[in-house]
Amino acid sequence: MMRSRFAFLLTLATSAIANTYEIEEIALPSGLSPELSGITFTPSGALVVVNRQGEVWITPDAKAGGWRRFAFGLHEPLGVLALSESEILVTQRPELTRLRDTDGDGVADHYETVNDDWQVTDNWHEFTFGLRRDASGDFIFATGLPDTAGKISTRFPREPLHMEKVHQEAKPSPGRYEGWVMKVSPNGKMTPIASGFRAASGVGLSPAGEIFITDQQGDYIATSTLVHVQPGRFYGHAASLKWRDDYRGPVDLETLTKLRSPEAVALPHGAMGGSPGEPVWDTTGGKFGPFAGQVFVGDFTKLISRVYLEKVAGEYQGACFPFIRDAVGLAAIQANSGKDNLTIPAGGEGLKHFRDVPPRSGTPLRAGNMRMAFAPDGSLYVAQTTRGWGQGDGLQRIVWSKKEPVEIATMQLTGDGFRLTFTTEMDEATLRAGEGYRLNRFRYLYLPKGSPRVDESSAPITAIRVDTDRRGVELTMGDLQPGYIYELELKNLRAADGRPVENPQAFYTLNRTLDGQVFSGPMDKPLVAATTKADTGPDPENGRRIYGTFCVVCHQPDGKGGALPGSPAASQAMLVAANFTLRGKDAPLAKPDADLIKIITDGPLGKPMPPFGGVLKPQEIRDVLAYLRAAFGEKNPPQSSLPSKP
Amino acid sequence: MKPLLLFFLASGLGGFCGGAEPPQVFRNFMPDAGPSAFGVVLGPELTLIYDPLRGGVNQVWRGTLDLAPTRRAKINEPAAVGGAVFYQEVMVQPLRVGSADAVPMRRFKGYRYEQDAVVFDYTLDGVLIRETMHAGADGGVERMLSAPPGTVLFYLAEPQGSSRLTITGAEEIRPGIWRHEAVEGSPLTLTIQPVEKP
Repeated sequence: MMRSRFAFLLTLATSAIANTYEIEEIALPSGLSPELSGITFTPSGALVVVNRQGEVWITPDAKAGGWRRFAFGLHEPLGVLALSESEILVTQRPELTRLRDTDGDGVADHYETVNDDWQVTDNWHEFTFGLRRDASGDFIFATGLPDTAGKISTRFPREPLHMEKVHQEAKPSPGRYEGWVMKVSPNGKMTPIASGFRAASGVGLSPAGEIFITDQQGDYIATSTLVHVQPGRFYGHAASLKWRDDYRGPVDLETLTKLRSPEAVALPHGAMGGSPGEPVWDTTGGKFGPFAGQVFVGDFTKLISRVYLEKVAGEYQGACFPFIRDAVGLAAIQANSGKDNLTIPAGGEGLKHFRDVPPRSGTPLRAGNMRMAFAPDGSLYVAQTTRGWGQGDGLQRIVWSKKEPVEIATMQLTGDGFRLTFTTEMDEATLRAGEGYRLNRFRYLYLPKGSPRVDESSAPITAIRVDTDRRGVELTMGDLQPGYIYELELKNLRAADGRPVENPQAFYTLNRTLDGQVFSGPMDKPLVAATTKADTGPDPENGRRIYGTFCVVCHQPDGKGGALPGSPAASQAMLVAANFTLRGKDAPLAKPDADLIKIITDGPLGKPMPPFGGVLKPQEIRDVLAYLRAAFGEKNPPQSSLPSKP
Repeated sequence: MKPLLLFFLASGLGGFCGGAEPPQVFRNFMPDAGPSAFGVVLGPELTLIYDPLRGGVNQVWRGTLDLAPTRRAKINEPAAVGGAVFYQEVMVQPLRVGSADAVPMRRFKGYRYEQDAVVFDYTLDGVLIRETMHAGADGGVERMLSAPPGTVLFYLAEPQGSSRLTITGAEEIRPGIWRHEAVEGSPLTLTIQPVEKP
């Protein structure tokens, strides 16, 4: 009763609040499969999308319909660039292709291979990502690494595959230039640019023509990243190094650490999503609100984040903020909460914190926000696909309502702390209050298996100076350390008109101090030893946090597993993440603990779930199992939604 | 291309391709082929796999191409052959340039639709080859291969059990090895005709 009353009040409250950004659903024609994997606009403003089915569709006005299919039969295009309505380029898995309509009937009849100087093997995870064009006309894109959870075909390679360590790695690089960013000149010559990428799903070009890539968390890549790509550099995943001209054999971790260039901005796993997509720059000149020049990054989860970049000691670094984190996504956020993942504390306090944020009304943001493009009218089109990892495909549009948001506009490094600017005039009293800020820091290790947060501690603020116009504040700290991510949480800060900060959270990646100092400590172990805990049996609360980090993407916050779209259940049962809410003797949780611990440790036979024995400690695996039983087991019927708190 | 027909294929067949008249090309994971090969629907109930890496037509069958396995879940599978295969090639680069004994370096250059045909472009050791493919009479496939005048091509034919391969514009210099000297307007033509077994 209490819950339903709260839900009613919440609905009433949200309906009265106008969002600063509205989400609109864009209807797609019935013939257009909604697994949209690329989006762009032609110079004349027509919208172009590509999808997993290999089609290219175009419309002069998406809101009015008028879609037509321009091309079909492409191999999973994940990047598209329209030079005109009759000449469109796409990245397919094996090549960069120019599509041309030569007879003027509105449909491509010529599919020209512009370049295919990299090699694929037909592994399921071997994606070719993105497509941008720089001022000199070069096409920029990236390749991902295959995944040994699937087959790696060795049939008919154009040139010999490099099979060194392939079967010892989760993500190897058997084909030439897998795990690289490259460019192709207008006359079709390919030049590899930089290596060390795991799944560089997002390819972006800044207004100044600089290449930025988002890479996805996993082995070697402790958390997802936004990388400023510079020629010749190596960005962390070891597998692709074998395609460098100076490669002489496997490289040890110490050498890799020296070779590795850090990301510009870390996107902490959990709080800032799980798998980032394409970064796009707000070049709308204010049509999209007060974030001109900043970067927007979609994510596989129901999140779009925002990034503020600045150059410090000659290199980019900066801060990321949530931009739209859907209310429905609160379920995922809560599942992800905990010190390993999220600044928002788990449990009641976290929910209380979120209640301070005006909940969004209207259309919720879907998952699968992997591709985005600004329209000529300044709205942000979001092409969505979860590509079989979950549910969420389609096209949405984000429109600024012209209402001034209350947000942290920028977070800049100073000599002794950070300077925040806000999008509006703030309330001076809350701006001056020391308890209005919570600042922590942590870092990630550089390890083949990835890394949780380590060396996490509070970062005390020693002084607060408020700008006279109350649109900015400087936070002084006693101890500013390079090599850490500083996470900032605002508590109860309000605008001058009383509205709370919509996304009171930020993460600043402090690679360098203003005077150029960098972290010189070990990257393979924490500086502070983790506190050892007496073995008091499994800890379901810790298991919940681990579930939020490693399990939730496939098994979902409600434990019901990944429903894979378009899969005939009978033939695809092996590809569906287990549903822990099932009951009966064949249900996943009907197995004894020993069997489940073995499955988690070694991976289930014949299924794509990776083994976690090398990632989680035995105690952590027991904690996860305790959480599964507590949350989804017989004694605790599954909840279809979050419990409401009074 | 006819937009109406393409729309029909996109919307109504649930992954099955076949039964349309103009050729249609689908690049994807194909069974027993090199990475990212082509499924080519040449006409009603006439489908083949064209392999740009092995070099040629891997299989021809009467029936459809099921693309649904390539789109299922996150770990996808090759497309499925939906019909009786009557022609198969396995030799690496059976079309050769300059010498029958040297396997050429093949680079794929693209394809285009022309009338009722699809035209694949590629190079063999840098020599541009243009291969026009369309449905032939009586349910067969016709492949016309053109090269710059003066180019000498060799085609190494494989024995077939369920089809008859007819080669014109070339002479058989050794059993199964055919020589063609390119002349403007006179392509090397390979006609694959299914043979009805008694």
